[in-house]
Amino acid sequence: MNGGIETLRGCVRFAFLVAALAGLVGSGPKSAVAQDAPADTGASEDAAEAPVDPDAPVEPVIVPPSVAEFVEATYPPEAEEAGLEAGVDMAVTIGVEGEVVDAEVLQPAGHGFDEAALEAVRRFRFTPATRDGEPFAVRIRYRYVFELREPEPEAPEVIPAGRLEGQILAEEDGAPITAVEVVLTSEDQVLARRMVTGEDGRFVFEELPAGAYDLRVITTEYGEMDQREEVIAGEITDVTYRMAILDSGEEEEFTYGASAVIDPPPREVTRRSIPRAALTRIPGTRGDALRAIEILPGVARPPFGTGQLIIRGSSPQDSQVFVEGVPLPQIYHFGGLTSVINSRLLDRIDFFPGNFSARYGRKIGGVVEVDVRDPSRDGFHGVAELSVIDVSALAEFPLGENASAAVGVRRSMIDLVFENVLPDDIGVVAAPVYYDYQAFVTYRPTPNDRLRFLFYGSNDRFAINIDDSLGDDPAIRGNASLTQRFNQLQFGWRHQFGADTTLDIDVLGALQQANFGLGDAFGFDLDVWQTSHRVELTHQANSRVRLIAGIDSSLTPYTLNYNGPRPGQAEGEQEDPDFNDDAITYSVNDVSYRPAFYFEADLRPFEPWQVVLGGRVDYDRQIRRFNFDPRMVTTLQVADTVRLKGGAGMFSQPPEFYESDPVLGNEELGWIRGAHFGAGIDWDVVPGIRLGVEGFYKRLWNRVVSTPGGVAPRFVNDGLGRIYGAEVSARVSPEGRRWFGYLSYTLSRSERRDAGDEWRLFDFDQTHIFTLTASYQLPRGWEIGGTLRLVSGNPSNQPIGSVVDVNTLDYTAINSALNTRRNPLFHRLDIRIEKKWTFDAWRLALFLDIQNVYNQQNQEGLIFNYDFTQSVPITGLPIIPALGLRGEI
Amino acid sequence: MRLRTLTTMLLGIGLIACGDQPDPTYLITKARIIGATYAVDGDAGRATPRAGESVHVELLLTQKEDPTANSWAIIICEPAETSFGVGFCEGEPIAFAIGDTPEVVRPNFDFAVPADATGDYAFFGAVCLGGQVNLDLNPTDFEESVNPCVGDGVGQLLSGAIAVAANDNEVNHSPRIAEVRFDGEPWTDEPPMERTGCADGPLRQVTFGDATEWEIEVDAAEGSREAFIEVDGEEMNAVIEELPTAFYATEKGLEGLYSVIDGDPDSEDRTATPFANLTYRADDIEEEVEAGGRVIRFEIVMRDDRGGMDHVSRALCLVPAT
Repeated sequence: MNGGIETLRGCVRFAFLVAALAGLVGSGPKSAVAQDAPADTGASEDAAEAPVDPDAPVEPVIVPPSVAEFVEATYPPEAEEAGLEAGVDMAVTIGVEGEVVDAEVLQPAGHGFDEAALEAVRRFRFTPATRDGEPFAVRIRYRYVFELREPEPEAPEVIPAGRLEGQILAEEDGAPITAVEVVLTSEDQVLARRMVTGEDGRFVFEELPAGAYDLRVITTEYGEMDQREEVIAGEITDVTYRMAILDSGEEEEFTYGASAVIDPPPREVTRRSIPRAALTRIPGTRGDALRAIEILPGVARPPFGTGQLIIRGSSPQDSQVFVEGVPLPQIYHFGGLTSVINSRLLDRIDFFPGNFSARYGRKIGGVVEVDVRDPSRDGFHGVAELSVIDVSALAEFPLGENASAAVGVRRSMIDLVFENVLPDDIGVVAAPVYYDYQAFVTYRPTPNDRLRFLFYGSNDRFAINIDDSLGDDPAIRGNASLTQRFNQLQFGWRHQFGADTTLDIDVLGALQQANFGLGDAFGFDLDVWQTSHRVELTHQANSRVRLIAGIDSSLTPYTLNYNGPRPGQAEGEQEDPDFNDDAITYSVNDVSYRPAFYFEADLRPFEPWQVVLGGRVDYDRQIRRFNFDPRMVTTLQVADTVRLKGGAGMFSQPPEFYESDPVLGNEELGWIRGAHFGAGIDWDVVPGIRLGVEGFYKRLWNRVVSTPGGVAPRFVNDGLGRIYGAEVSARVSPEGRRWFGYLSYTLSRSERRDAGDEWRLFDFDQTHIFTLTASYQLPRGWEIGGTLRLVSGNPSNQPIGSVVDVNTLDYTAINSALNTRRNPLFHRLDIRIEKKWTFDAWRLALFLDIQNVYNQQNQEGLIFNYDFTQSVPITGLPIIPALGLRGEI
Repeated sequence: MRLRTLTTMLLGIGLIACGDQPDPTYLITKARIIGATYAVDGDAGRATPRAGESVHVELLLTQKEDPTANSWAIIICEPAETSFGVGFCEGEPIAFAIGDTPEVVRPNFDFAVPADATGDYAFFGAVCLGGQVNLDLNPTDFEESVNPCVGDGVGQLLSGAIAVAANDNEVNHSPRIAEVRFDGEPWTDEPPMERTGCADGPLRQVTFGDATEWEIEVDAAEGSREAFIEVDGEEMNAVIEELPTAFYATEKGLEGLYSVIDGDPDSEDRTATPFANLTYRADDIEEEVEAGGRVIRFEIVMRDDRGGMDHVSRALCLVPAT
């Protein structure tokens, strides 16, 4: 709606008396004419009162003048402001043509009324007075009345073209952002307008031809934002934008596709972020922000889309996802199609492929940090989405003046599709079923305090029936089921001590459960009551020194009931588990305790050079050992658009719990160690386009590997690893463009050496990883994009023979060495088409997200026959079209 | 094992169920070992010798074509305690067995359990058909050489275990197949030497392309399922043997490989059956059947997973549709 306040305008109402011609010009007889108000000369009054003589000669017929063209006088501003009204009596002489020959004030009203009335009346046109039909000049008395008019009801607004108006609000508290420059450019670049938001944060562009417009919001505090809007003839397009204040300065964005953010120095050499504007628009991800990680350099492709996170040649268990600083037990639901947290609740996803901050520990691979955003405080907002994959709903709303909340829920649809589409005879009795939920509350009791309560969880269930005919091992039969779920309650408090010191406290309480059953042969029932605690203090000592210190601990009671084969090493396991021999039954009820202390000094010795020195001390109760990891990263701004960066550090990780368990493994195991080295360059070619090149080397030692044949002590710290490579990236950010794009290429080699064996390839080594993503916004709310991936096939084994156990009739493959062959090149194209409709109060979007458009049968592995002399390929996920509908208010 | 690995495995199972498959495991396409029988000297029904006793071990070797001569080489030793993969010896081998005869016999050897034996024994070796077994093979490190034969010949590397009974609880007798039924009728037809031309013979006939699901049932003899005490850490549980029964055939058509006798005869639980049973149908064969009919040979191997095993062969005549 039009936000302007309608001013009470002065309205000029006129009244003039022409019924009596007070004084006729010339010598003609006087006539009496009825009049509304006395407004004539004394002569006319006499005439009016004269008696009628029937014998008198016939009087000529006189017709008085009348107003033909009225001119509205300007209401004197001062008088209007003072609320004054008046009437100005004037003598007006009208010529034979009806023109105003003369006018004079008879009764002054003052306050500017007299002048205004005269100025208007002199421009009047009259129908001349006539006598027996002949015009003649007359002088009349005329009263011009000034009267304040009550505001009339607003007439329906006529908008022959279209109008684009809106409001810009701060995301953190919903307050209007004032004095923001808003630039509007038509699609053909012909029309360009510019304006500044008012105190209410609003802007209005009127009289716009219908069509698409690019709208750019430019602020210093909130950065820039670009949007494309559609203007429809005869309609008002009303939009609301929420902008987040730029990071006030703890970390620098080494962004991959980030918006222009200039912050203090980094705590990591390589930190790649995806701007929110692009997070939900990556083709092939179904708008899932966390799946956008897949396009970043350094991220390998997991087999079967299992959602495993393989970062720079590290095992999935070597990397970790954090939510606001505490671990997330799983990032994706089964099949890797959907993440466990609604993307619209996320504020930022940072991906650290190596050389990460001392804030993060107990991992030697990479880290993904997910920050959630505060729920909206400017009213109720909601979004609902339905697709063939899942259905979800999210609502956010204020809770009083200082708090806001968001609740969301999602449930899979795959099982319903399975039931109605797949044949009955494939042995699958239940498809994957998952759901997740989130309930977030943010409360700001004071300007210096922010409290967050996050309650979220996920549940995945998958079951199939393996009857006698499917398994070649009689021990594996019956129902197979897998359940994985977690419920987490997280509390965060940020307190600002003045301008220079910040305290962050994050506490997590969680119940994580995993159950896996495979008939009588295998049972895995794990309950984990995890608590995590993080306290971090940041102090900006001066313009060149920032200090950070923190405590990062976890206290985790857990119970495990297990029956099945003895577990082997997590990666590079040479043999399949034997369900017949050496099956064990094991139960444990214990507590894991892992405290840590970390610190960082963020220094700027001189302006272009920045260096962060850090260290971390960890303790693990299970292995009863301390560990210290020093870390360093540095950057050098060699030009305005070019920055060099480098880092080196030590990283450590405790063994998996079963590896150091006294029954299942070796309680004498120590920390797994790693060293990261990296160096690179970032070049902002032009605003919005950044190129990056980075080389890295990682050395691993003390890797936990199985002893030959799994003989006691079963596991030892005798494994080595080396990973090296280079990453090239280019991104075109969406700001100010109709399109955005990412290109990444990773060349790497990841090798392992197990207990004195020869060097071999890592299970998921992928020499070439190429990803190209682009998305283009078309007029009228259309957007189309695609993602192309070309990835080297994963290594696999080439059996050269087999040994049959004549007691169990099991065959064991003989491999000359591990991972000596590769699956063929993986390639896949995903596309996404979306159409948006914008209405007054809500938006609707219809999207089609197709994974594997040309249904490439990518080989993920081989199925061998019983004695490994025959094989057929296992192919990955086929074409998956996901048609969906999304509504937003 | 990582949970993620298990997840992958489960997803893999689901995908495998939908995709292409290699030849089914039950299909006999070449010479292969389908089991081993153990018979204590003087007590042939007993599979577990005691210290000081001798045991006769016979490898169940079958093949699709006519039997051929074979040779074999076996070493026996004390096993190392391993968790996965092919086992290996703890120390030096204590016995060798080499067989090289022109007759068509199943590979076999005798082993005299040392009087001071305190545990089970392992054996490793190779069998070669149509050629000379590779005596240079190091059966405790198969990765050095994986060819069971010298020159021509087709062979198979093998491993096994001789369970030694240290007490009465560990004494185990082999299960015995009491009866095999086909379509509810006793099935006693043993395979003839000829592989074709059975249409005019006494074998039961099935018609090529017939989609009928024939039920094959195998009864274990009374007493085959022995009770014993299973020791699991500090727990001891009384357990009754289950009898995994494997079905092999020279043509496609079997429902699968295994059926397990593990239940009460009155139970309706499909996974708890009182007899082994699988279905067979004659419409899975991909090639035309000879006019005179083709012999389909079935091998049925019943074992108790404690060293006991029994085996029978049966045959059908597959005839073309008229």
